[in-house]
Amino acid sequence: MRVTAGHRRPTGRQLRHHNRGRVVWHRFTVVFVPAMLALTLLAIGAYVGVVPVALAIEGKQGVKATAKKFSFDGTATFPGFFQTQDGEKRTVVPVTLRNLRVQGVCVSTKVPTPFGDYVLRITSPTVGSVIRVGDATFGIDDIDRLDFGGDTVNVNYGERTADGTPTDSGIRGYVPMEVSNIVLGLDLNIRYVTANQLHLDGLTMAGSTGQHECY
Amino acid sequence: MTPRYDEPSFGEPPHEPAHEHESLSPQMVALYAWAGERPWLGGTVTTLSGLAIAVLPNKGFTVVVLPGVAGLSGFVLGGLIIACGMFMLFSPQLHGILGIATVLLSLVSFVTTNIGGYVIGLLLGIVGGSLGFAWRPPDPD
Repeated sequence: MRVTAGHRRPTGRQLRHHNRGRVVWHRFTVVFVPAMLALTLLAIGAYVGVVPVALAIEGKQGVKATAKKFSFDGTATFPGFFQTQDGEKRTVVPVTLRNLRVQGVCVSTKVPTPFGDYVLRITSPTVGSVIRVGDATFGIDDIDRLDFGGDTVNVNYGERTADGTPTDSGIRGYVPMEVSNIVLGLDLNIRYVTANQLHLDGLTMAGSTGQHECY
Repeated sequence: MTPRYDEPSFGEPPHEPAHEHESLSPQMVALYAWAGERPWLGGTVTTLSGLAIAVLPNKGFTVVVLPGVAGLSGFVLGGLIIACGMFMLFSPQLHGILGIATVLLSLVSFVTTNIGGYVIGLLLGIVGGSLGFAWRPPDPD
């Protein structure tokens, strides 16, 4: 032990014997175990679609998405702005889809790695399970291509006057449309996606270097 | 002249590691004493959890601020959890309520903030909050 005349510094051993606070492990388990149980229940609830979660995906990652069947109430707002990390202000059109219902969804993204292209692919069944989103907003940067095809597209065709002239019908402020068997091909640059009240039901996620993209 | 010498002491085990005998600097002693009076581990882990929830979902992306719950709640919840961690360190007498608050905020982040900062921040928050709650202050002398 190093001793100096008139002054003695404490050693690590002496400090450890000093009266100190400490963690009481049985109290730790009293909080930790119920919290992990709650987390497990939340995770199971999110997986089966009972617990809604919120996601915000943003950036410049290329994402390919297809869906077999979907329905929504759509609203588009005035152009909005967002600021990038380098200070640049860009304009987007936030398009909000309310009460979105999607079946047979496939979303994939590819990330190049030194070991090959890593593809993350999220799919849901084409029958049965429905993904429900209360409020999904897409910040559209620009639209490169739009293909539209379908059997029938009738606008404001719901009601007619006595002489056969189509007349306004439905909820004021909405355009009544009747479409069937439409095929949409969109090539968009979307800067961000936010989704609230997201009910994920039957979603499966797989990621590997051998995965195929959605198209 | 100050005499300095090494002397073996009675009562100590004969095979103590060398560092056990080395004296510590005054700064280390002060830090050690300071840490002994507060839940430093719980506070540190909790602060890291808040940082993970606030920063991880936004790191590496180009958009700074997003509309919507998920875009904003990361900063709000992450900031609140960081505050809990700081209060654990600087107001240790509140460790119990802060630990519970940290665990609850972490669980809320699962639903509102990109699955709790990609699960990492969520798990750190549960561990940090539990450590903060489980800390027992030093016995009064």
